[in-house]
Amino acid sequence: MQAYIIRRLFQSALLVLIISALVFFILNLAPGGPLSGLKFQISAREYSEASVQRYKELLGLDKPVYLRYFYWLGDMVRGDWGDSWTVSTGRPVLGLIMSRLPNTLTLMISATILSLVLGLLIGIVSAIKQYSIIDTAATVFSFVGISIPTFWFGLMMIVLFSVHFRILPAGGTADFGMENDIGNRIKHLIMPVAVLSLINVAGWSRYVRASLLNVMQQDYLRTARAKGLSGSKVITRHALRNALIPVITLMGLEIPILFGGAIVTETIFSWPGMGRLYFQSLVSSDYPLAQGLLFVTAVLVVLSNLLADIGYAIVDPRVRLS
Amino acid sequence: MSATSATALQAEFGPTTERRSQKQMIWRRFRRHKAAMVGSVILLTMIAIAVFAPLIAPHSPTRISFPFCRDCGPSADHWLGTDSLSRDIFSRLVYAGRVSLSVAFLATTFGTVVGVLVGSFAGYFGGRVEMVLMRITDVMLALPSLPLLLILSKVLGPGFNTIVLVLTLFGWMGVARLVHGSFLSLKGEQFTEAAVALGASSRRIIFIHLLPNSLAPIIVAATLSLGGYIIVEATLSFLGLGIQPPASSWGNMLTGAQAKIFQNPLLTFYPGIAIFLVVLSANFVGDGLRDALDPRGKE
Repeated sequence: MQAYIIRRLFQSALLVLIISALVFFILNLAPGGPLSGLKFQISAREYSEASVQRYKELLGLDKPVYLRYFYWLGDMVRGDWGDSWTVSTGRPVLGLIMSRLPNTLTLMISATILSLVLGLLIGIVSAIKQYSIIDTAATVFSFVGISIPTFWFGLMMIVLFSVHFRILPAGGTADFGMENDIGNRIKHLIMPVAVLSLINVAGWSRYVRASLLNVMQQDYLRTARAKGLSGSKVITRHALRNALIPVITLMGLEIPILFGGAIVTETIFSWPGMGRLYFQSLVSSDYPLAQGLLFVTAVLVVLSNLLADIGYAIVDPRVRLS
Repeated sequence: MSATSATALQAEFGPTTERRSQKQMIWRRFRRHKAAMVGSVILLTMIAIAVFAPLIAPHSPTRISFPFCRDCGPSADHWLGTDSLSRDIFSRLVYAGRVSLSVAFLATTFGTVVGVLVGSFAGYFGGRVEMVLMRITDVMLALPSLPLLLILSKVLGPGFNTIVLVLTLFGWMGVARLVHGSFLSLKGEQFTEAAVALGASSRRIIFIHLLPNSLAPIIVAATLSLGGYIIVEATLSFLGLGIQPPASSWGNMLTGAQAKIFQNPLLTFYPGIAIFLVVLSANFVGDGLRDALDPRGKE
């Protein structure tokens, strides 16, 4: 087990390196380079070959790109993530990201819990009552859930609950002056969490259903029934425990999708988190900030994959051997 | 017993069954999937509208129409009204479908081709080629794709070609895995061994023997990925990093609509329902194809 974890840890570190290198080279080898946005930022009078050169020297962009990658990596490890160029000019990137991290985590953790509860519930009920009305409804729901664009679902929610019924706020984390009011915060959380959860509930419920149906055909379940266990005990004690093993892996794989969803959801609901910050950094060509955010994303994604794999190895001993 | 007498016996004593070709059997199974049939009709209609857009759209999608009329409601001239630049919304929707469907079909084609190539090389050649290719596939699958799609699009300069390129770049892995798995199991089959024994070239074995036998899951995966591409294209365009105005796409029409969400909430409805209908139809068709192409499925 220890060897397995160490091996996976090593692979994860490698993956973070690959992603960070990928992002670094995408940004630095692009036509125009990282300063392509500069001419929009400074006035035309100031923009000249000389000023571009000065900026390049100032930012260390005059050195070869592979060298710069190692400088950058060294700085990142030391905690110097550079300063934001445009979104919050001059502010250290690391501090800026850290100030937004709690908001994003609140959103993601709430969405994950909600998706898990609903996904399991719908999946289990539709597997036990296969081909019933509930099962059919769940099937239709999951098709709708994976076919509806997240951002449009968000917009429709705003139209319905903020514009038409006026019962939920269209954006932000809390009303002005009500930051410490839990009820007000929850009100702001409802729509973003619903939007972020939809696709996961749709996907996970199908997965749980398929997995449970598969397990229910196994011989050991017939044995459990044959020895006289009640229906509910067979399901909870024998079927579910085995059916939920693959769901752990699935959750690890869904985390990257959650990050994508956060960009869209936070942008629509003006939620001051990492996703919206990333979008802003792209729109205003704030490359140090974009790079820092992608680094955090990469670390969190890889970490969650690692946790899912280790969790899987703990509950399913067969994995450790291969 | 010779083959002819067996047929004769069958004709005389056996249960009378109609002779059906493979294609007829697939069509019969597909037809029974009602949602897939409805989906096909909707999808074909949308494709027809996209192809014949100039004949269907009453106005230009990009030109400001006169008499000047900003954010006007539906009228006889403008069926769905006009947007904030006095452009006909219905015409913009029709042309947007053209753009969105073209992007999705191109990305599906390229993504499937790349996936097939990577998967078949890895599956057929094995060894180090397999290890490298499948490791790359796994890493790509573990990447958070939307953030990277956005930054690539930004850096390369957003537009039609860029979006097809980045969608392809992040869309081939599913097919690659599928083909890889399928090739691994087919490599052990006797017809492959026979082909090898007869001295067939690698290219012949891959394209004549292995690939046609992997076709069914590839078709299903490609159909199901179509909807995904449409959603991602719409998302990129909505965020301003996809199809650029004045050209309309369902995604970028929603960007304009969001700004007017309190004044004219209906604007957010039309493009979204178009995306939703097409994607839902594509997913139903994919589901129907999966049932129809599965030889273990019910007769």
